[in-house]
Amino acid sequence: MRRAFVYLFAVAAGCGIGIGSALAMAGLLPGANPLAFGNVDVDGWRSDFAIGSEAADAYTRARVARHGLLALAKSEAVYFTRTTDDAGQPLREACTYRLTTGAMPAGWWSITLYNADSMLPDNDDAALSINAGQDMAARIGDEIVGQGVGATVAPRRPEGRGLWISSRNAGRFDLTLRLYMPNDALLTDPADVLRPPRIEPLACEVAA
Amino acid sequence: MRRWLGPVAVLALSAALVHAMTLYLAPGVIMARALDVLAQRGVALHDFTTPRRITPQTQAVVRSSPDLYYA
Repeated sequence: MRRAFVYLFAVAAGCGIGIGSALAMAGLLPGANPLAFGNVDVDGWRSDFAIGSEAADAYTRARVARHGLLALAKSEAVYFTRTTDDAGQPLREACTYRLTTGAMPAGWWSITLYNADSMLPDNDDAALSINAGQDMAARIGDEIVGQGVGATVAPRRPEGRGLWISSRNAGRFDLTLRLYMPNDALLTDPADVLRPPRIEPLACEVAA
Repeated sequence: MRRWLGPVAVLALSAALVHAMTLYLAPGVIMARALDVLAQRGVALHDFTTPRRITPQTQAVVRSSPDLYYA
């Protein structure tokens, strides 16, 4: 009888270890870092070119289902995500950032802000992304800071005519760069071809 | 010591099987939940539809793009 309980316990413990290890290794546990994966890293912008392909293993498929459901294959789009600024600090709502980017090796692109749950943050600012259709001189407020596209990432709309990505109610967040119809060269050698956006921290609010 | 070999082997086998099964089933379960949410919101499945632009208030799946027109 005691022997049977030992085997029963072994089965129950094995099931627990199996589920827990699978959820952890696939990034399915709450609070999992969406960047704890990937086979491409360009200046902190991480991607996984196996998404949507037969080369994707079971861990990648489960991770995509959790953090990037309905993601396209790399021939149609690739996704780069970054959770830290140029100083290496986590992106967070309390800070204001200057985002600048130039031409992208793709037919069209966009940059979107997501919270730690991989969802659009709960605000009604209608300012959660910028895209190639907004091509203009990189402008922060009314100051032209270079060629390409520039935007302020902040919880409140900045003064001036510049583009704005709202981080209101985002907490800790990430920025995801989507590159649609990517150039072949980008898929072959992303580190040499991609000049990823810069995320420069400007100021942070200190909690009272 | 030898009497523990059996239980340990059963534990390891159970863990490996459940680990693989969890990975295999997870995408389908998550996708089914997403489709349920869409159905609850009145989105016609397996049919042409013209949803409005995605907002934080209407998003149903992770990492929806507010720049795209989903159809």
